[in-house]
Amino acid sequence: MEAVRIDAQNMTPKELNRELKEKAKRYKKIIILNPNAKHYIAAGLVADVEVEIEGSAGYFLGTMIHGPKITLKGNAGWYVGDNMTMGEIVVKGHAGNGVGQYMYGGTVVVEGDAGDRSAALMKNGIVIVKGDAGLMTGLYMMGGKVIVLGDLNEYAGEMIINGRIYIGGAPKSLGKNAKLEEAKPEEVEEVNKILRKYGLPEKDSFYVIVPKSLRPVYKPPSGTPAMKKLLPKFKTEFTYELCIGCGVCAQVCPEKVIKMVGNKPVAARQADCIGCYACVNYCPTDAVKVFRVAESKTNRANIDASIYNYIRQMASVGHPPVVGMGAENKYFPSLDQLTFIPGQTSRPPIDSYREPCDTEVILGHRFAEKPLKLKAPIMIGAMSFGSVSKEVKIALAKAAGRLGIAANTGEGGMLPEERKYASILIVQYASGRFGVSASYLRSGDAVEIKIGQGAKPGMGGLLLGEKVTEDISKMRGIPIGTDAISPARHLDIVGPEDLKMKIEQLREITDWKVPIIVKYAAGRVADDVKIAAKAGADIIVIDGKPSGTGATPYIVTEHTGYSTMAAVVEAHKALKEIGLRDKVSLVVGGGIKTGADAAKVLALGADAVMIASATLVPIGCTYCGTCHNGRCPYGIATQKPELRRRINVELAAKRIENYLRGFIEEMCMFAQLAGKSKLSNLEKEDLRALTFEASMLTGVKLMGVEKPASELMER
Amino acid sequence: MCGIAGIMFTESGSPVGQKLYEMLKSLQHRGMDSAGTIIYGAKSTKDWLVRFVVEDEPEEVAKKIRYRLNVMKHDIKKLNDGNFMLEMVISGDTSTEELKNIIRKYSLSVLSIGKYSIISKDVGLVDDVEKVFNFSKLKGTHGIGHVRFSTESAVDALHAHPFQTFDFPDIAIVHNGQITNYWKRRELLELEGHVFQTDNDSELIIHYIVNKLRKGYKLEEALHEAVKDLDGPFAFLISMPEGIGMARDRLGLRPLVTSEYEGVFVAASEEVAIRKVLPESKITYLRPGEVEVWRP
Ligand SMILES: Cc1cc2nc3c(=O)[nH]c(=O)nc-3n(C[C@H](O)[C@H](O)[C@H](O)COP(=O)(O)O)c2cc1C
Ligand code: SF4
Ligand code: SF4
Repeated sequence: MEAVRIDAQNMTPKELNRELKEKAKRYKKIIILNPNAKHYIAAGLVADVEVEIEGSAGYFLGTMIHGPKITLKGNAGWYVGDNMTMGEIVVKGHAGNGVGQYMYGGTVVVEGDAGDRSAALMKNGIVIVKGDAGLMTGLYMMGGKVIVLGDLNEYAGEMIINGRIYIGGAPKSLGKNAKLEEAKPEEVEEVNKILRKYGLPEKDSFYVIVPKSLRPVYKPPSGTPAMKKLLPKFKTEFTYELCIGCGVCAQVCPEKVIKMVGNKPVAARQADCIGCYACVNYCPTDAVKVFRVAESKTNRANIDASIYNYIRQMASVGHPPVVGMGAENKYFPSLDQLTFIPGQTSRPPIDSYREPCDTEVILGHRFAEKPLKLKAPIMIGAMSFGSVSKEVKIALAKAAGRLGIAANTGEGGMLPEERKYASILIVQYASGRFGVSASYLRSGDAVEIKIGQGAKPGMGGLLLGEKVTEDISKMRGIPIGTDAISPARHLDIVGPEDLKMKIEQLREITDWKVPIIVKYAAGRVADDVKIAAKAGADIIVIDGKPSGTGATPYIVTEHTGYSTMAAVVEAHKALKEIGLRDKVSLVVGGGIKTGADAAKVLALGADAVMIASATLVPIGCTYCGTCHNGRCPYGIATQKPELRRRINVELAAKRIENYLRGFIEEMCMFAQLAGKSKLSNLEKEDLRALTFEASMLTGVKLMGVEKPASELMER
Repeated sequence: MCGIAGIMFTESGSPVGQKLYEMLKSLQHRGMDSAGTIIYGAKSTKDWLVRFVVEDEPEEVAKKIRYRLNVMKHDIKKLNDGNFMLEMVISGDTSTEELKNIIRKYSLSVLSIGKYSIISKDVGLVDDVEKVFNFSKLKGTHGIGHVRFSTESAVDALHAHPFQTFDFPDIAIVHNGQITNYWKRRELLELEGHVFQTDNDSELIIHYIVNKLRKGYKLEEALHEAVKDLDGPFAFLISMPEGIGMARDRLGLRPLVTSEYEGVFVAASEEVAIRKVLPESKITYLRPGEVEVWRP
């Protein structure tokens, strides 16, 4: 067999990986000399090749490889075989934390000891450790096999929901949801067969750690009978003169509020009504009306219906109930507190019906070879396949493609149709890494690292088991009916230097071609923005409150977050402070519904806006908030075929397109009436604040005073 | 935040500066905002060596201090962050209290204070800091170093690591991570009379450890207590004339590897740095929640 040598002594990881890729085309075996503990060796290598490394490797050895057989003579740093999909990595020495984390396939063998959190969030494949393994081996494990010949440190199999951890020695302690059993003889034989293949010692018996429950967090309640909701938030009324007794309303009601008594619909369980208006929408004779009962509260103590019913619900299920869509919270400052002022004679307005308005924007030109060229400054926010249906994903991709704006896969993998229709598709890379592989990342026009989202800051993505159908289970690599819970943080991003390494790793995978985006939930905005910018991000997305979500604990979405309006100003300022405002693109979202909201956010300093939930309204969404349990009556946030059938994909795409065309026209109107011929020229001076609060938050001049409120305070 | 490194030799006059320089360079990718080292045994222990950061008119400041204290000599350098560094050798007869009083009286910013140790730190890459301080030439027994990726506090020479508080000369810390129960712990320490100079969580660790040492805990015990009481992700090295202590948080969220070969002890965020000093030795991983102490 022909072998070739690469001396890595004076190479950067980028040079080494480019060389590896070239050589892998022509040779069957490659020997790397002087690796000197470099990071990202062989990152994303897709080839049927043997790679021998004569020394130690740094972080992310063989991350996302597909095919190669890598042998490392020395020690490996953290995250060996991270997210690999096929191939083999044998480490002769010891390995650090996160061996085989997020793996989808292939085998990693560590002949020495392994650090903590081996096989964390692994979905498939095999991890073998000849020595001992550290803390939380098999953390959140979702599939595959782990074989440890030595001992396991504490919390073994913490929150495992699928897969098996075989142990030759003993675990020090088991994690939540982990159960220890004796492996069956046929399993022992299977494990020994694998060990034999790698020349490792066999054993007569093994312990095995398996999950106790498939749904350790959102277990269906048992034992306690549910308490009814009592205080109604809506009132459903029927006009019996119009009713033809067809029963459609009762059939489409997701909450079983309506009951047919003979041919007559009645609102039997009024308090369960969530105001989805499905009954109103689908009634063929307009015989149903639904009203909000605004004053619905307890007699004393002034507790409103939402909280009262919520407490009863929690008393039934024993954990914080989950909802979809944004918060009810009325206290977040609204962009409505700002208004545009026109050009008159001091500066002339531009005619929005007859004169042109430039809407194009280029995002991510800092390091990426191919920045995003958007026809209008709009990115559709990430909504994962899983949280929404295939029909929605396709409709959004079609509309985005026709408008030349960016679509986003969300954190649940990519549908082929999405790629086909979207001209600009951002692939999301979130902490659960569902559906992530080298080829997934390479098929995107940008990679978005999701650190957080505004509706549930500091928490990971959540897809309840009700929505994890066969299709979703295949795409995400998790069992049907389990909850897809992404960790609150990426297991390999704990501090700023990790984010920097992550960005470099993703650039290695995508060959430095596409922009890398970092998406944050607004929080410590200035600090986080500076960190992402210094870590090398091309684009930063800030998601402020109010903001949408597919599923979030109700209490979290109501009591967390940071105003979009304040966040955009802070992010813009932070980038200026570190002299990178012209290099790093800023995209801001959260609660944007119209071109007016968007124009205001642009005027406050963003280069583009992100909108998510509002793009569902043209498909029928009524913000009822039952997105989490798969009962969406409009076929949007559900995977049930009978509900999805309610969407006509082509019509939905057309309506989203119409809505966004109007939206772009709206943005232009504000720019033009303020005297600008380009959207990107909108500025703070075009705005006035109607309230002291809005002026304080944004630095926009307070109407009637013509000074920012902060200047009034100084005196 | 950051990359950390530490080294200890059994013999004095060892190339601590040179080795720390090489280690920090190999960790440069972990932080490019600032860098720094503290090195022990590189000066005579007779006198104080104090480095102040002065915004402008350093000679004026020098004059003021000279008027009050027995200063043997002083020197002024320009720092990368635009400020001046005023370096003073002050008679060892001066008590710590006298020194502190002057620092408070003139609200001086102290970059380094010690009889046994010298801190060199500034904004910029390792090489930028080396250009100002030439710390790689310093020989001694042990030292620790840091490259910083700043998170929530300012980027200037003073906020670079190793971090020191003038209340405790010759003690310094390099720290990778955050303490997320900072204000809670700070309040408790303030109740016991500790005075904080900054809002930096690294300072908290120094106060915490000193507090325990003063109560008679051994350094190992103090470190164990720190692991129990401090929340958040962290790995840190704390240095003092008597040696170096280190600890990792209970969940092992920040890295620290160590190695030892023929009386040379090294610790760092990544193996690359260790390999600059000990190319072949066995690597040991400090376990989550584990602590270690080296004494020369
Ligand atoms: C149904 C739904 C699913 C979502 N899924 C994701 C996701 O997978 N990843 C993510 O980063 N954000 C997700 N989000 C949040 C959006 O990307 C976006 O940040 C937020 O909804 C913006 O606020 P807006 O809806 O008010 O425009 C989702 C939102 C919704 C409504
Ligand atoms: S609005 Fe929705 S939940 Fe309420 S009665 Fe009609 S269909 Fe049922
Ligand atoms: S997506 Fe469906 S379930 Fe969610 S708020 Fe809209 S209509 Fe309701």
